[in-house]
Amino acid sequence: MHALTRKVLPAILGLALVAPAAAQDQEQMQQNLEKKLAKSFVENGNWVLDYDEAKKIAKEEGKIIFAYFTRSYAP
Amino acid sequence: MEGGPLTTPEFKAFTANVVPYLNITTHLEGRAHEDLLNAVGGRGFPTLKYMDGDGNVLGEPSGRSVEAFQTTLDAIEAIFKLEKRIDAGEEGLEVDLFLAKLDMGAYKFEAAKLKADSFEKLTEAQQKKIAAKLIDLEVEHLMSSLTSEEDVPAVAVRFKEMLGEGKMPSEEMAGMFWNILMFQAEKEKDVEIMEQGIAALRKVYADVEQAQTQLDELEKEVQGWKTEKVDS
Repeated sequence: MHALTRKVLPAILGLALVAPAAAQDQEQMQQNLEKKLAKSFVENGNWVLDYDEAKKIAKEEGKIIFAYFTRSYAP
Repeated sequence: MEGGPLTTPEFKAFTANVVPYLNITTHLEGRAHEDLLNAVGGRGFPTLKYMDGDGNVLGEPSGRSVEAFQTTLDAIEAIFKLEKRIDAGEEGLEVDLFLAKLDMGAYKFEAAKLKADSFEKLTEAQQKKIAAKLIDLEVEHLMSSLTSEEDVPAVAVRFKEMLGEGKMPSEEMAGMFWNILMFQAEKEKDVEIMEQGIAALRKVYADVEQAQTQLDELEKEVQGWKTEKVDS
């Protein structure tokens, strides 16, 4: 395998796989979530954190949902 | 993202026109909507999606800047307007709507192909645009079927057929297309594919010095195969 595909192919294959859940302590996971929610982008974005609430607002106000998917369990 | 566009005043202003929804995958047991990313077809972090109030995916921003978020939002709203005109009985807009939705990434390959085949009359420009989009969608479809290295040969066979049919993907998809073709061609010592791929990847990675160096090395390797062939 040449240098380029050695680097690129795993990256391409990696796109198809969402990392499996690591068996980590739930308390730590909760702390990670709180740390994430304390980041400045959260306050800046006026984010709705509840999916059902977001859908409800979208219907009521005739707006489109801008959904941002991120994670707190890993950097 | 979180240290860039999402923290800007422009983004704050943009959120007034949408419902900004933040989904955090936490791995906390029993937390609602932990798996929503998979449900909406996301394959990694971060992922951005536009959705309606019923949770249907409408599209993905065309880039990672507030400007790109707005451009895509405008395009989605243009689609809604087209749909309203069609609902009101205006004729001859179906192809425009299809093309707008194709641009938005609202169609997967099979569905797009079926829809495209359903149109009896298309202009030359429309045919050309649809054909180009179908090529990219097929490449994307085949790439999403890859789960391990073992899947590569079958995909490479189809990509080789596409190449033979003159079906070249856009620059955006060309990197993946050629990397798969070359991954297989290297195993088979297929000089022709390797040389075409090197030339194509030089354009795709024109600004990436490291990639150009790797392509130089690869070019030497392929030259070596040619010499081996002549000697034997």
